[in-house]
Amino acid sequence: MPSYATLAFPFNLFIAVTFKMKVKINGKSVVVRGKTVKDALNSAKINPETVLVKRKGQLMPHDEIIKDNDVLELIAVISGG
Amino acid sequence: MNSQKCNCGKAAVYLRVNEGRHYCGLCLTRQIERNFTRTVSKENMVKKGDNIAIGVSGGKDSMVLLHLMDKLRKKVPIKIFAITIDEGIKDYRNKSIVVVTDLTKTIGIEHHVFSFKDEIGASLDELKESKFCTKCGVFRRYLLNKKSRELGATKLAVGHNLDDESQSIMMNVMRGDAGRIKRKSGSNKFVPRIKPLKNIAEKELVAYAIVNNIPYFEGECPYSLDNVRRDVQTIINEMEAKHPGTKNQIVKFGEKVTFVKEPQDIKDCLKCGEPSSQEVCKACQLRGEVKKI
Repeated sequence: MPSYATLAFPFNLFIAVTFKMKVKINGKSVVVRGKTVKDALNSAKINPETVLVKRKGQLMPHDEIIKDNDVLELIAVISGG
Repeated sequence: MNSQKCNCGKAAVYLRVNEGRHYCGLCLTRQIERNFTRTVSKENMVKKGDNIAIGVSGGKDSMVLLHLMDKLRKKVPIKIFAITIDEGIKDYRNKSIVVVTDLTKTIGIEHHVFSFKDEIGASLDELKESKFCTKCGVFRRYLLNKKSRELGATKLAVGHNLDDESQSIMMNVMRGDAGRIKRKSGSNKFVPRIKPLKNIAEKELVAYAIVNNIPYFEGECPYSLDNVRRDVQTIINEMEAKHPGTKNQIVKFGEKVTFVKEPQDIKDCLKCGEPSSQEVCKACQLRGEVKKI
């Protein structure tokens, strides 16, 4: 009897492929592995603690779902000094 | 439209990760204003009749502080005015001062600007040497205290936030300086400092400023890129991203630590008369170095 994991394998692969998209972060194209703002920031190697993110002028929570070709604008959080 | 929802049902604009709670603009505003009021009242930071100087650089923290203090003065009979220290950093401070001047005019309060050039003898740009941040910090604190006292302030409000507090505590730990965590002041020449934003995270202050259309200067000080605080900030932010709530816990630790340095023997500086723990205050010592260049 094949295990559940073996049976689910092609579906897991399908999900992994689906959750790969391209967004623009401050004008730069970034390939995102995942589906949230936080995933996009991690893909761009940006610490989510250091920025807020806007889409179409509206602030977004870091767990907001993003879509392929979304244009994200970052607002720096760290002090000016 | 964002798909995540606030508890009130509106679209969320912010996620407070350590609570796992979403906030819409209005609920975030209410929450931050409640936090500010709680900090002010819990620590008796303000009393009727106070004349409060607000150190305003034009950055998001001090501009939000100015906005909140303006709201507070409509509920509590206090006077407020703004002080800005112009360190003389080209394309940075001159731009931020304009933002402060505009807001102080809009809300109708006095705005005083004091420059390093006039008060110390040289702008920060003219100090072509290292230790910019040390000198800038000493001179800025010195002038803020001296000028607010001369202008009749009973309190000096500064925009230190939760992130600044956690960084200061970590820096004290790294220096092995427990006494700096809590220190009593031993001179009435020190204008009591209040930090009404000390329990609000930097990220939330930016979100508050955006949601409430509070203008602020977004530039970055060219001298702040390579200092110890910046390194500590990076480390704490990495920890916060991996372990949400770290900043709060560091600040709680700082509050629990009960080491209190005995009031130091504060005397008047022999050169300028300002309060100091040494014969000649740190600002005058550094000013001596400035005059040599």
